[in-house]
Amino acid sequence: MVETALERTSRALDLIPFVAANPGMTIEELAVKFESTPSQIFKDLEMLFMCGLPGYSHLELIDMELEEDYVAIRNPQNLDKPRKLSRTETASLTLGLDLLLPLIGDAELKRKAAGLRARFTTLLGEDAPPVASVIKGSEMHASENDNVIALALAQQSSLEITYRSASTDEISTRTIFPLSTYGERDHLYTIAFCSKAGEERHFRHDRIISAKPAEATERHLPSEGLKADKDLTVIKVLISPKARFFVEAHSSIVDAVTPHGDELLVTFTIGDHDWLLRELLALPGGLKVVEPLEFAQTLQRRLDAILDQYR
Amino acid sequence: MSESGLQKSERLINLTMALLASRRYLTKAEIFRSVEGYSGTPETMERMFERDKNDLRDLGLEIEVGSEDPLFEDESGYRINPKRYSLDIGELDQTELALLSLAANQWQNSLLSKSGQRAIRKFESIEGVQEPVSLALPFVKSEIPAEHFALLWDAVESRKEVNFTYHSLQSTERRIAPYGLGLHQGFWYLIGLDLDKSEIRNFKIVRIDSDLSVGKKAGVFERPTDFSLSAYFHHQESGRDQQSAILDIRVGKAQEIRAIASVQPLNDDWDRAHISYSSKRELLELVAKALTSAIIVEPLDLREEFICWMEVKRHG
Repeated sequence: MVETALERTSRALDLIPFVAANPGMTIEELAVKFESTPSQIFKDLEMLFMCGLPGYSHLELIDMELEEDYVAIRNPQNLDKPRKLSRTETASLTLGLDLLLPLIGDAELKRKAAGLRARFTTLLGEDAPPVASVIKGSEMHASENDNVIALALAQQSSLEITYRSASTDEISTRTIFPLSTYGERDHLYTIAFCSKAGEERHFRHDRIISAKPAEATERHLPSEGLKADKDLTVIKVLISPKARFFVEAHSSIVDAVTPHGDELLVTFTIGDHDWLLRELLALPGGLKVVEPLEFAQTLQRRLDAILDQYR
Repeated sequence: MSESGLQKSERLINLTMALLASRRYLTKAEIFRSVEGYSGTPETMERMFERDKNDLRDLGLEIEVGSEDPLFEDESGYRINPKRYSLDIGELDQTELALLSLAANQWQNSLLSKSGQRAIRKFESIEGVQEPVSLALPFVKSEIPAEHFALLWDAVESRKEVNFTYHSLQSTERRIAPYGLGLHQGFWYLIGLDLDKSEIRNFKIVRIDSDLSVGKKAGVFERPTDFSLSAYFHHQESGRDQQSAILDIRVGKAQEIRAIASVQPLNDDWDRAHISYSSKRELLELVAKALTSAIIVEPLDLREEFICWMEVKRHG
């Protein structure tokens, strides 16, 4: 993509105070930092050699040292300070803080985050309403178990947890080695190596009934990429447009969604059939499994058995 | 002949530096005489300067216009106030920088993530790049909206009308005065006045078709001063009454229901669960996910509705 003169100007104005505050970086490192290419950064710096204050003698020009593996600015003239934040820059920070705030358990850290939020709100100004907001009231909250898990993550130690599984509808005790925690929609999840399953699993925090440090720690490294393809099956299902939210919420297992008459034809690639079966039965509107036949038959048997209980 | 982008950038930076350096308003004549990069006939330079001024304003720089001599108000000049140019956020300690960096890194969508990285670079231009401090806080996944997001952001900010096809139960054409964007339970929504229905509506951005178009004209509507995104969403969700239901659940099964119900033993195979709920749909989902381990006992209309819910699936 061809860059406009304005984009270059904007980056160059940001480059000067950055290099002044961080002398000695290479062009390569600056390119990574500024999400640009080494040749663009080189051109920017070459151009900045020629910039300065009226008079444009060596006393007024931006004074720079420019080598392939060393860039420094000895005199940035009056561009020594970064420009103020733009509205989107401020919004990125305030919205990010809004997402994080409810998840911070530590009181001191929470106070700092709230303080920053307030400082940046002032920066946004009262004159204009925010373009975007994180809607309050739907956010996740830190719980006692979250803190136990955060501690285990920080100390790289194993936990013994009692867990309610959604796909098997069973409660089990297992030893896990937590690898990372993330939030998605309403819930917090921890990815951990599960000794019972012998592989990585995602544990939803509100389904963890109890968590305590395990007697011994067995360390594991995060696996690379997804599970082996052999465990995954393609399942094609017709669902009602009323159930579109399910497809949107689970886009990582959805390969394709195509309109099919009044319905949607959805292609899933998934390993956990038990989970998908329960989720599909809980969707509003009609449902028809197109393939594989075996999954279609299992679903029909389940449906018949559920309805039999009401006769 | 059109000038090269490099020449233009160079002149814009020189102009910025000159306007920043001057304590008094610089007249155009002074600018043309002293700032490197202005050449040609007076008309050419005049046109160049008008474009440059607008470009710098597009970059967010505030160029003040004023006059030094009250007797010659026609001869107005220009300057940039250094206080309004540079970032002034006070001191930030390492923990605060780490928090801000984490906040900026929450975004997978390009507008907010690129803006966030730019902001972090600005902090690093004051404090220098810091050794990362680990805060052990989770990363919150939110949807990555398509290119729509940047377009809608601009439409909200500049108050431009938007048109698009919306895929919900049906696909319909919409004409909207956009009031704001809201992140709700992991999804981004556009909230605005539906100009055909004259009602405030919300639109899940993933359901907006690629035919989204943003009007050219800015400031074509006023957002009501009392409008609040949060209040709008809360209003949508309030007004639900708490109701109660009785379910029979298998001993040792239906764990999701057990977690929120009060349960007494009924016989060797079944327990009886009393549950209160505000969303009928959520309760029906919970019972369906329990498969044959839960039966709705009462209320009867809920029981009937569940049977219909299942019947409609049996017939495909």
